[in-house]
Amino acid sequence: MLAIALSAVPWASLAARAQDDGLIGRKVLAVYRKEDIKGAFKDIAFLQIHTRAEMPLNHLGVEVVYREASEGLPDPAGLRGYAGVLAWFERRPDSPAPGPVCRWLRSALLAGTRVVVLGDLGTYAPLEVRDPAVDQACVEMLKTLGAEVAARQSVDVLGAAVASVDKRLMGFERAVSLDGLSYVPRVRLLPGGRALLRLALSEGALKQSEPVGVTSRGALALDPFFLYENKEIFPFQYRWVVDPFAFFEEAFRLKGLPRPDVTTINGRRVYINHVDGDGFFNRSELDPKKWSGEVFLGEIVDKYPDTPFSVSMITGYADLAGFNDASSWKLARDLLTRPNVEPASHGYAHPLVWNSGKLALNIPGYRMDAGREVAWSVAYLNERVLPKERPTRLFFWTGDCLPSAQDVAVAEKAGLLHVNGEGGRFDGRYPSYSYLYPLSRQVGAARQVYAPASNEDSYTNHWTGPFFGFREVVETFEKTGLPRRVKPVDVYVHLYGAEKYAALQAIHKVFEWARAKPLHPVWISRYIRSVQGFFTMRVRRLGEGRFRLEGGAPMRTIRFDAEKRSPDLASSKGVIGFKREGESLYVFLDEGEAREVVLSAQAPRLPYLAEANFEVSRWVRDGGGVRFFRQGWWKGECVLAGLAPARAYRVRSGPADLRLVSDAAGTLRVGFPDAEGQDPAREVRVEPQP
Amino acid sequence: MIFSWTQVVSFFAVMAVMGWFVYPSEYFRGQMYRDEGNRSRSIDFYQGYLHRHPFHKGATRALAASFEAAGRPEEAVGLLEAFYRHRRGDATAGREVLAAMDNAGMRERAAAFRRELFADFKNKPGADSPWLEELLYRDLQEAAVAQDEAAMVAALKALSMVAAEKTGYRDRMLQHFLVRRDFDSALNLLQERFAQEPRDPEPRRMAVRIHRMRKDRGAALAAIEDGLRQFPRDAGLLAERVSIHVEAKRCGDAVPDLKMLLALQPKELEWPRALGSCLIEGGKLEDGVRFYEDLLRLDPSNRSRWWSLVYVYADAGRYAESSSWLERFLAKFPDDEAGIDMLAYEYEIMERLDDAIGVLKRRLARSPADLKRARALASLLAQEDRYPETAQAYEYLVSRVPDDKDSWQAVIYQHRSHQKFPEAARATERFIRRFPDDPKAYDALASVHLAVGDRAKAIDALESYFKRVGVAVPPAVSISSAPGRPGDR
Repeated sequence: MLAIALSAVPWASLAARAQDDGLIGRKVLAVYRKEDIKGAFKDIAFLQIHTRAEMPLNHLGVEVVYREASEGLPDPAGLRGYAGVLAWFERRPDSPAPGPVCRWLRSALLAGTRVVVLGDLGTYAPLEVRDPAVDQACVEMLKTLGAEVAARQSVDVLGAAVASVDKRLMGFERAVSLDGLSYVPRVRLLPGGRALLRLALSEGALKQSEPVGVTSRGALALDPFFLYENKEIFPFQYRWVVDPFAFFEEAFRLKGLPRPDVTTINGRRVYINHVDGDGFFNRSELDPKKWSGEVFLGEIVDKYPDTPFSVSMITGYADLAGFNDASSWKLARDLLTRPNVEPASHGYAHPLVWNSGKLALNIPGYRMDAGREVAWSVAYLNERVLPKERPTRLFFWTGDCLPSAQDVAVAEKAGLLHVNGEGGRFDGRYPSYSYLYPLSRQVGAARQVYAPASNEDSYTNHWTGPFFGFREVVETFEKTGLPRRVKPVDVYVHLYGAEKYAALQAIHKVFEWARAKPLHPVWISRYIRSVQGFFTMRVRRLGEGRFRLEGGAPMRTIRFDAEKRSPDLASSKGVIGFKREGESLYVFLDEGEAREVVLSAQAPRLPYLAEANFEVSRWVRDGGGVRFFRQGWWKGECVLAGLAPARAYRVRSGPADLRLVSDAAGTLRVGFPDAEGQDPAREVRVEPQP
Repeated sequence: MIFSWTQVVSFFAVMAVMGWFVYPSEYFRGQMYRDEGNRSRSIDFYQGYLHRHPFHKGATRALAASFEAAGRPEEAVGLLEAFYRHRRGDATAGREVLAAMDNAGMRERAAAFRRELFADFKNKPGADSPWLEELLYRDLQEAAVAQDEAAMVAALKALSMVAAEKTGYRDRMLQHFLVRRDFDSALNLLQERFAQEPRDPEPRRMAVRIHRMRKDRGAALAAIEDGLRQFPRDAGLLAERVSIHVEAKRCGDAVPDLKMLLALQPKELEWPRALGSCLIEGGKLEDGVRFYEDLLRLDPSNRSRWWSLVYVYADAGRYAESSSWLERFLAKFPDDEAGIDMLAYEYEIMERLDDAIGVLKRRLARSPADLKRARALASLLAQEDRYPETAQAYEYLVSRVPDDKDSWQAVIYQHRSHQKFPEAARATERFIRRFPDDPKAYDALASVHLAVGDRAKAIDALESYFKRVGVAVPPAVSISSAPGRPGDR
């Protein structure tokens, strides 16, 4: 069944990460078998690579492409656009022997592709076999990877001790611990490998084992030493023992590469509010005479008119008695046509389970149809609810948010931007990066963009209480912002949040937190386009510290980590500014399609944007000053740098005409009294004064 | 009048009675506010009610629910905590506090409160042990996740008390100490277990292992003695003592224990092996060997058991027996290279050189490509100065490895040293054809020719070298003027 072609291409130098044409591989191929997925629904959404490893890889600028082994694995010679291959083996009683996959992995290694192996060594013996042997094909593959392995060894509590640990990469969220250890994989790294964890064994022929390490051709991290699991309490607890960011960076040789970054625009963290239309017609306990949708409009949307909201509506209400009267839909129209609201569809009957067609709304005579749920519901809004000049192309997935490839194809064919599903938490109950989901889910040939954060459902026990629970989302926002910014801020709620007073209070608290932070508010459609740009952008190395970014125009930020150099603004193209935060250098790009970033040890001497809470376009440096167009939601704030020190500048934009003086470092902080919201972008002129 | 005074009075009396039944009580009226808006009315109401009726259970709960519904869970927690402390020991109230803390995300406070609950309930008659165990188990798991060592130990100690009948927690605590190599704590715990589990020898065995890990042989032996007093036939303890004696190279002291182990566990193969080894070490070779032979009979395909016998005799210098075993071993495993080498070696030691040679020749007959043995054979023949066999042996090596200069030179040497000059010359000529740039070969050839008095050929040999390197032969150079060398004539 497997189509495995051994490469005839001789093994290439591992140092040649870039192809001859300079294109840098930004993809990792994740190889899996459908039997590795628990349950009847075999979707990558349930794979550990997806739920745990993909987010750190996305943060490193990598796209993960999934390939199921029985569908045929690619010719290893064709992997030149890939940073490497990732396989996470789990020992399951119904999984087939791993030999074929291991043979393919070996051929990939021989073709010069880096391979990372995680998990159990794919023994696939019955679970009652205590120390199962390793499949011979896997033994050979691992030897090619740079490790000699043998059958794992049972140990008792005195049988193993930690001999050495690489503290830079291990102990990330939890120190290495041998509590409960009953077996040890027997691994010896070959010369050229570096053990991140070495165990001393008191029994057996092998006196040491190195179950976590990096080799010259990749890396391996074996159970139970790289990810801690505790399923004795709920929620199940996971902690990364290995630092997944540093580990994958080293394993796939990603250090020093530019990373497309969706979390930040113009140096400010992206801030989204998006609302699912569930519960529009629930009665609110704040005023039993009002629908929750109406209360949400008054208490939230209208209370923060300078803040953008992406709000969706379930169109099937229009076909249900009790909700299809003119006044109800006038309310819906009022909500969706507010100047600070970006309207969207949340389906027709709101499928709860896309796979089975189970629906939330019981509409007489209707059975789930993807066309009606997706494309038709958006068209309905455009024709019946929204004014012609403000149509929507936005769709929020519903229920379990696991649409099939056919469902997603409907959205893609209709030209819709679509989002929802997963998100993740990182707080006191889920205190680990391992609970955060990646940017998207691969669905056939398309990608479903995930919501950046979980909605209040997760915080309120599926809306059974405590209804104030959503206030805990602030902790997730804080932890996903520092020390690494891995997610934007996304306040993701349902309209039924206005049904309960405590829930509404929690939402207000979250908004107060967000409004006190230096964020960059956008509609979710903007974020979706950034994510699309992440996947379409190609990065080409032109030389040392020189990169060309092709495509992915909506992707406006590139991040370098641990980079001491700065952008050479004179030599770069399409770079309008940059900002350092912690260990990261965020480089801001203009709206063009082909941009070049050149790094230099010299500090830049041209004016540049250091941060802004609005979008910038048509950036031009002009006579010691700059001109650009701005468009944002909150009162405009920006910092310009690289100007002449202690110099007077005139800043004009719309009615604003400001006289400001740069500081000794040549930095100018500008605050505009207004914002554009939905209005067209406004020009800003910054001119030095005599 | 339509109605009499009696009827009117009766009517109003009945209305008053009905009103007294039907009109909602103050408390009941308060209930009606519960689901309204921001709960300010219900909160005010229940706060007032509790002011007049402190620690009223229903009102407390209602007020707490109102606080939660108003998005003020911290106040709900404070209220319920105060209520619990007023009614300390009320399990239901305790559960409600924990639930409120969990809802509010007060994890640390919840952990502290669980410990407070445990302190309150641990000695309470009729306490709900399963519930306490559940609380403490959660504590344990959270501490384990957080790697809070002190909290883990505290939880395990508490669990051991609450669920005394479950040995799992004590086992886990022991493992906790052992993983961290906190042997003092582990030993203290084991001491307690000796008394708690007098019929279980496992704690005693573990104590012995700990002493051994600390390299405290005396303590380990004392612990074994103590244990054997309780469990005189415990194989684990006996095995530990055997290991201690063997490690201390006092194998003979282990013999009585090994004999007992053999009786207790007749199927365990380690005991006869160890016993045999110890007897042999103690000078009782014949007695010891019997056990090795027994082991071999059980599994003749196990090569290591053959080798045990071979080495027993070899180490004792009894090569006759050793080689006899090797012969039998090689009859079964004729291609075992280590066996072949060992047998040849032993034959040599016993000066049974023909036999040694025979072993190697038989090996080469079966495996002509075995160069290692081919060299060994050649070397042995040379050692015995067996000509022309030695030369043939080296010729064989040359035929297999034409670039092996050492073998070539050995061939030449063999012929020369046995005065077989024509053969030496032919061999040298062949060597030169193989290695035309080796100047010493020309010299050697010339020397051989001279040895038989053939000066012309000697000169030819030297001239051919000079031609090869492109050097004109100096006219003054002649054999007669060449420096003489001993033996040339």
